[in-house]
Amino acid sequence: MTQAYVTGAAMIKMGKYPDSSYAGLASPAVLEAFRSANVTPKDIGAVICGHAFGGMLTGQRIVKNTGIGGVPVINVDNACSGGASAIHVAAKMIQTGQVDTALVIGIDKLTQFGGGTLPLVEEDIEVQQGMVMPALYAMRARRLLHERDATVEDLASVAVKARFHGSLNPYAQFNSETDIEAVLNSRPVADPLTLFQCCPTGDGAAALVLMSEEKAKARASTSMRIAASVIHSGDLAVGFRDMLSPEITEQCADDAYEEAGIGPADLDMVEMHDAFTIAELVYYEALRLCPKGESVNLLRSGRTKLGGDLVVNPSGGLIAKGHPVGASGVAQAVEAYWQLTEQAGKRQIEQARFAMTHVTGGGISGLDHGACTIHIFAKD
Amino acid sequence: MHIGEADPVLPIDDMTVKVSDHVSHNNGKSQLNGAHCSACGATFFPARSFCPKCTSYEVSPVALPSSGELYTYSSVHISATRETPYHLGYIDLPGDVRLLAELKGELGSFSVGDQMELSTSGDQWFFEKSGGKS
Repeated sequence: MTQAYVTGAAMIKMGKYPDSSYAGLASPAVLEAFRSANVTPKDIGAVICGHAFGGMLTGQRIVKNTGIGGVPVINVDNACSGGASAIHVAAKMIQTGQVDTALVIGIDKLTQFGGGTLPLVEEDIEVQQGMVMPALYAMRARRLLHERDATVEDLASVAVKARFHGSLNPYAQFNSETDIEAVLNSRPVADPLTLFQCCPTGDGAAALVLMSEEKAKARASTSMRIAASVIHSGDLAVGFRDMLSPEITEQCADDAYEEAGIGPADLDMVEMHDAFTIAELVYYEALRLCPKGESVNLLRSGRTKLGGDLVVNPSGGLIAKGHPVGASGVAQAVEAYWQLTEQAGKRQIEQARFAMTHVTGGGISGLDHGACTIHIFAKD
Repeated sequence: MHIGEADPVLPIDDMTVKVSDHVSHNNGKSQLNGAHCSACGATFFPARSFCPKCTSYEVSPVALPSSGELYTYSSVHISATRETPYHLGYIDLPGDVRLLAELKGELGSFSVGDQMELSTSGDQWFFEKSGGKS
């Protein structure tokens, strides 16, 4: 089996673009990814497009006008893990020799819904009972406050950190800093979570060019190796579930570390699924970045802020960069690429060698989340 | 007989089950309709025709306990379809069954670990704090 490399990456600035179609959102990212990888459309052997709300043939609607035709185009839905799942599919196609160059797209346009919470599937019993994503995370936050020596200020400081990182990222939806008081005084969404603790509604698209080792090494363009690519689905619980120990992320992370042959201490940065502030505190532990019960201390230590030794969400994460569902997993990989190839500008992490990206996808009853996708990228 | 010539496999008409069907009324008492799997021992809510844990069809309806412990909760302030705020919580019933329910009561009156009790109003069912009724 050959190794898969990311040899080009690009995205559009996340934001609200009601006047753009899915093709209008994604095409500039695709063209810039081609330029970044120094490839032409004719080099692309397959296209994998991750999205949740694009509708039929989203990938084909995008690439038909970017010089790509004839080759397989596969559309992947895994809710918020759609984009990362597309990377996984493309990486496997390259590792098994089906193609030597692939284009990955992650995209979604949430302004089509006119704001509010993410539309969930009405067939689900908990959705019928009034479940919305902020409520699910808020109930995790309630447990954290109950079980741990944690305060609402700790929750708020996750958002403050995210917005600081976002202020250094021109591609982020939010480019301004905030403080704990402003976060706690923003309007309540689902107690104890306030508006600034929730990822915004927005639109975005990101693209990667993946190549086999042979192709990648023959080119001058900078690259990062895909050291691990793992997808897990949730395990049904009909009874008790510890909402602070998401088995889906824990097991996915363990598999990813094993596949990459590294441990959490080797990571220089993590882009994780901070859809809401509480998520970052839960995932510090689930991704084994700190022992159980230590997540609040890890946050308070400052190690996960730019300048620390284990920077979490240097892009601003979902909270500041934005979270157009299917785009996020690919946008996280774009950030990893920029960091590992030293193109991250003001938020550059010095001598970063290993980056982890993590997205989940939720909204159905009985599972912690439906999907979890983790990648580990290495600078070789 | 081969499957291709037997009675065809048909879908489950689960869309006909409304939220109000999850509760039945017995001598003035309300109860939640769960199911128990005799193959693997799981009890689950809502009732289904087969066991979601082991796939056995050996399941039978069971009335679930109508009170349990509040594991966590939140008050939701944004909704396109409901009056806000409304309160949601996970209730752990004896027998290892967890369910999401709407909570009725004063904002700020709930605490993790509260004993909660099933209550109904018309077609609606929800949980409120035990002894909370005046």
